[in-house]
Amino acid sequence: MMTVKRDAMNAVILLAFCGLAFYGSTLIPERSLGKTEGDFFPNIIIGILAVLSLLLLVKSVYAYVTSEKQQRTEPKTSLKERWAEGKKVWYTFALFGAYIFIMPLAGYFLSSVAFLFTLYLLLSSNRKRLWLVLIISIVVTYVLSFIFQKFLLVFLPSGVLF
Amino acid sequence: MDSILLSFESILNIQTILILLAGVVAGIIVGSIPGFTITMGVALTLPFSFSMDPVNGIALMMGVQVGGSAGGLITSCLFGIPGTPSSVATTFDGYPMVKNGEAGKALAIGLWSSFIGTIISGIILIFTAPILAEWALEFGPWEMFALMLFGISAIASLSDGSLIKGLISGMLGILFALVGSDPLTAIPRFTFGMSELMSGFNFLPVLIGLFAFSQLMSDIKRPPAPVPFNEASNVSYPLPKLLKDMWSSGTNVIRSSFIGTLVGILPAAGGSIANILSYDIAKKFSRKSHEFGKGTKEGIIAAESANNSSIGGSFVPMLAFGIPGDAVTAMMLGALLIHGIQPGPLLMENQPVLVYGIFISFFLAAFLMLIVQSLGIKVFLKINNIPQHVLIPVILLLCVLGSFAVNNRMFDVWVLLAFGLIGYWMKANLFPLAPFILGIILGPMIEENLRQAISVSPDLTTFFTRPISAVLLVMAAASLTYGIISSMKQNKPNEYEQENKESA
Repeated sequence: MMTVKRDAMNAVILLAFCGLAFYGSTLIPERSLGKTEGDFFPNIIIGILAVLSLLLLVKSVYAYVTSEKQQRTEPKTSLKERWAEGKKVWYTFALFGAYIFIMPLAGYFLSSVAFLFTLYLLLSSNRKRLWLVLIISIVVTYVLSFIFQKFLLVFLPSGVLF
Repeated sequence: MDSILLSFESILNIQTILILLAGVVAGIIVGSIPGFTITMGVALTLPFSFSMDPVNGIALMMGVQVGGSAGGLITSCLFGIPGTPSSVATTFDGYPMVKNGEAGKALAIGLWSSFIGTIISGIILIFTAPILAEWALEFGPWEMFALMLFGISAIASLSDGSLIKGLISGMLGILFALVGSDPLTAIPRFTFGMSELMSGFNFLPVLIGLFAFSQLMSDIKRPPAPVPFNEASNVSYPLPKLLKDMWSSGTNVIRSSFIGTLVGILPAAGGSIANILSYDIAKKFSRKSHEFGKGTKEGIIAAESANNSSIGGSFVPMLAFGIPGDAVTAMMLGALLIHGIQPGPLLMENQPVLVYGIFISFFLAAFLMLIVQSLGIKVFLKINNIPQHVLIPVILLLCVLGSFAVNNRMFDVWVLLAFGLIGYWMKANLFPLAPFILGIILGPMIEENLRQAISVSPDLTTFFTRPISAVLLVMAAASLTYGIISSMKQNKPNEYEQENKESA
């Protein structure tokens, strides 16, 4: 039953996205250079996507309405339980966002070592030999930067703070 | 002939062989770690292919694909856990054979079946792709549009249960691919004033975000079960016995390789379908069908030769028409585009050295896979024991570097994060990812051909009056109808009863 509700919510999100995309397509200037304008194809796709999203909404609402009452009133997974199950993922996303925000300021090397070390602490419950984890973080960061800078000629951010 | 000789020259050098070897090793590692997929492995090797010439870049990815397909065999046989979705049927007999005390035999037979399957599909690829490409040269924008539409109708079979969700995923892929300058009038679309979006979303961070980043997040949420390696396991098997085993199952090997290749040629029907279909057919043809599922070599042979031969098959539409059959070939097409090479029927005519180079590296990858996996099996099993909390941070760092490397700018790393979130949301809500990538690759091609066709003749009935275009449109409609019917059958009585089983 949770999937049904989530699908209904997803369909609403997708419809909102279609609205945003349609607004975006109205901003495309007309040039009259050919028989089709720049918004010709995007509008077809937005239209199909909107119809499909509506279908998903109708399908999930229909599934909800026709389901047994018992199924509808089955105990819900509490927000707390769902957070406990997925919190590591959201912490990782947040850590990753912080990492790429800091990288241009602190530079590739410092930020990456800090990222690897912190992410290890987040994902592992083992707190033994953390000095080894730090050394591995430094070595991995250095080896990867060496490969990318030396062989692939990528110039990684050096940072502005240091 | 000159092209073939030049291709040999471009492939048979120490640099390319080492690149191919690195790809095969990486592929076997990725394939043998439960929770990691070949698609993810190929996405992560893409950034390394930038600085290489196109032949080497494709060779690297091909090595990962061939190695990955064979790597899935290791965990399938030894632990009963499919390393990749394309080795599900391998577990049916591989694992019971190992439990019967014949680990070495299971691995050796599986490996050689993979090898022979790859070689047979490579031979079919060499003969069919050029013929089809020559035929496709006659195509105008009407036929190309219909062909692309047929390719995208594969979404129906890539949808894993919910056709609506598969189609939504494909449309989202097309829509994101339309961001940037209009290819015909050069006016900006959906850029919302951001200059970084003028050239659209770069293919690579989108791909890594969708396939690698989101996969890692799913692994964090639900870590795959650890698979301890038993040091005492005997993983060797004498070669004379092996050759005798393979010889006595010659018909099965050849039949399964043909099935695998054919399935691979069909849009979206990749290794996972080939693996199970071939197993099923082998069981039906066998006089000892009651032995299937109890550890018979015939089951392993059918499953492994088919999943590897589907790789060669999937290259046929990619090289002949420029249509990706699955997510991995979509990435390879993306890699060609990054190198400024336009895939399609003209590829064989304009870049014969590259195409023959791809053929040669395909065979070479098969030989390297055989050698590397035979010699390094114990090492790969130990790598398998590296905990996820060590691997995931390193792979995430690799994702960042790969995305940054595209244009040397942080914007692409933010794109990686954004598509990582989109991919995670899609996985968590059971939207298949493969149609998204098919949409990204085929969307712009469909638009270009459709608008060209309308510019030449605004009469839309032209699509139906030109015979090849009409046939292809009928095939696309048939493919979609088949998808709708099979989706309706699958969803009876109520798809929601399955309730979020696969939800990440």
